[in-house]
Amino acid sequence: MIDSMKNLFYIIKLGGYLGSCLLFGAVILVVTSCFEEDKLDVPVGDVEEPTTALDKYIDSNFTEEYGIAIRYKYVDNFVNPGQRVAPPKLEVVRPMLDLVDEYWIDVYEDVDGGEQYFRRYVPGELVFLGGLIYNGDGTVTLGTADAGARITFTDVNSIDFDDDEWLLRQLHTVYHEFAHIVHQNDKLPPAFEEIAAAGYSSAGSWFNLTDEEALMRGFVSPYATSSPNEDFAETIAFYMAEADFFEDYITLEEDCTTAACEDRNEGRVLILEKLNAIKEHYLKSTGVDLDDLRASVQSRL
Amino acid sequence: MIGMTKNILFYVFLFFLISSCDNGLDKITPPAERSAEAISNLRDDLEEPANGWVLNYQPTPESGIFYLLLKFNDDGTVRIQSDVPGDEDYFYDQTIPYRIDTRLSLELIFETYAVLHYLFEQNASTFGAEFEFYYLEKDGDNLMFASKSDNLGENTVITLEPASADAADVFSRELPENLFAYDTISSLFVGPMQHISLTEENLSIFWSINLDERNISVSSVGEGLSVSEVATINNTKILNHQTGYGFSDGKLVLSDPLNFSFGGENITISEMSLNSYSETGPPMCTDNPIATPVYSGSVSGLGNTIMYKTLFDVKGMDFQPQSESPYSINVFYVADSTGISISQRGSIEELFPTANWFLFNYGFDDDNPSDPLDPQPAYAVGLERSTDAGDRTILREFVPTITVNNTVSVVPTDNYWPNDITAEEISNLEIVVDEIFGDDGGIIHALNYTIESQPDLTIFTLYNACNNYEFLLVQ
Repeated sequence: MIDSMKNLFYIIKLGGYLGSCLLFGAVILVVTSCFEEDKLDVPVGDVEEPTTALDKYIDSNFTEEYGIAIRYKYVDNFVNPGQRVAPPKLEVVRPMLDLVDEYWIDVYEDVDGGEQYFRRYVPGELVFLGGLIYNGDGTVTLGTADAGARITFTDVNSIDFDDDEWLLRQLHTVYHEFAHIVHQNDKLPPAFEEIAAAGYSSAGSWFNLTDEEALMRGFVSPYATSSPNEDFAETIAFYMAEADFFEDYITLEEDCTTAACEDRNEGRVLILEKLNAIKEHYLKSTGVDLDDLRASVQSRL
Repeated sequence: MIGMTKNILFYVFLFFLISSCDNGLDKITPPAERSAEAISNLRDDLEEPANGWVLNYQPTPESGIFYLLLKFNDDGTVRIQSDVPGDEDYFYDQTIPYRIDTRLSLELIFETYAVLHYLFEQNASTFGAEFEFYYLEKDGDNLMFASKSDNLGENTVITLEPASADAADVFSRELPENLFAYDTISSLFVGPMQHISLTEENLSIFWSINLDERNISVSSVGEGLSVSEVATINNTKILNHQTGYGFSDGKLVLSDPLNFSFGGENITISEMSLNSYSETGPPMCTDNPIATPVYSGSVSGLGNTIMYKTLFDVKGMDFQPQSESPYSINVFYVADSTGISISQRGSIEELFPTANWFLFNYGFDDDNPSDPLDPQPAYAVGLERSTDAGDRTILREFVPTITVNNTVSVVPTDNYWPNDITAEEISNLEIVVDEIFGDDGGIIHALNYTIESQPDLTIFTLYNACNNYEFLLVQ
């Protein structure tokens, strides 16, 4: 399983002062990918008989209710060999469960057809990790998911519902990975990959793109350019989580006087075309209206 | 007859063979049972000591000692007490779940975040502390474990020793708590620096201290009790001694005692009592006179000590005017108060995005100028950057100065170089220089900085204690 967990989610590239601990010029790159060939209906796996109040709560509200195993006790195969990460603090687990409830499960239960869809395709495991995953090459993985079978939340020890950046990162994680389930079950919207076909980057080169360059190509993030599947998942994640999605990615800048401005607007046209295709496809294949989902998420932020 | 005897022998042999096979099969315990038994035995061993275990944890050979008490409970939890400050005393006393796994061998895993994980995360998780261990053996009353996720060949063996009833009495948590006050106003590269004044010996020892990894780098000793005395008398000796340290019973204990001879006397410091703490020391920045920490104590055989915060560095006194060439550094190594390179995020990045070098003319004699009528100023600070016309250097002059102890006063003027410098370049360079040195200039401390991989390279870090900006310079 771990070999297939090659999905990098968010990465921070860390500069360094002569290899020391100083963080010079930290650059956050939003990245997602999943292993599409993996099956989605992975069983929950071994679950210990709950003895503590926390474990009983998990058992009752997640494992029995939705078939989700919550992994908060450290197991080394949650990360790849060579990656280093610490487990969560015991006392942040329950607030994280509340986050999962409020910003994900309840959101689906809020909308028509959402609960049915959620229960059918919910991943078998949610993993909580306390810190960021250090990769040993100067990069940091901020979140991973395993083809819909497992979603891994990192940096949960920094839990702070008032920290917009932290909260958005967690929402991006869960909505990105859950979005993959849609195309894994019902494929991408027809001809989706042709809308911004020229903008996809060659293998491994998305790292070199800036956010603005990605926008000019018609993508919400550099990582979205890595493949149509990631483009699909990134677009949904951004649409769900970003309050300023329309201002940043849809609404055209007026009175453009530079080529860069015109390029950004051309990119926005492509994003709108893709978003409309996604919404139509999502409704048709899942019975869930993405606009309703977004409204529900945004009402909670 | 012979045939009958053979038959008897054959059946006797068969009997013993079958009997022995039966006995052998009976003795073989299924793997799952053996694993369960091994786990149970280790769990029993861990729970056995009435007062739990003492762990003097040294995560790496270079680090100091972290004093931990562990009490394993029969409900699958372990209480961990430590002398590690931080996070509002979060790590002093915690109870978390633990697990014993069997894979290739028995493994002890501390399952949720506690002090071991905090240490694990130090220095971007490269420090070398662990929270997963292989069980090695029982050695008398002790239990031995080895770290699991260290790099090959770097495994740390830890020993759990049965704790006495008063094992918690030697916790000295106020010491590391107070020492963290020395961390403010410190060089990013060198770390907190301390001046240990041995009052009855009329000596001063200077060291830098890593408060997270608990090690000390002793740089020098000098005659005199104050920095000004040491600098004036100028009778100093470089020591270059590295040691870990820990805390026990009100003392700072060095893992490798400091031994040196000075002025005909042999000095040994293995531990230092730290008795009285106050924040009454001299400020590091005259423009911002915040008192600094002072710890009074004593060393056995040497008498009373006073531990000050300092930015004095004997080797830093070697930062002197250099006529043959400017000091310089890749512009990346100019940092703001938060440790971020201002070439990556800040004024240089915004105003001079193609800058490559940060230049510091300190007594530079430009005897071969590109324009004979326009030599570089001897005292100036500036940048070299790439332009369409090639590399271009621009400088802002500062008032000629000298090194006093290990400090240099940099007071910029309104003179810029070269003659054809543009108004925009002047305006932008003024912003950058004022940001680094302060609007009216200021005093910077020169500290020696050694890169392990390049010990022959002479590097200074120039630290502004008033705004916490800092830059390296290569001689």
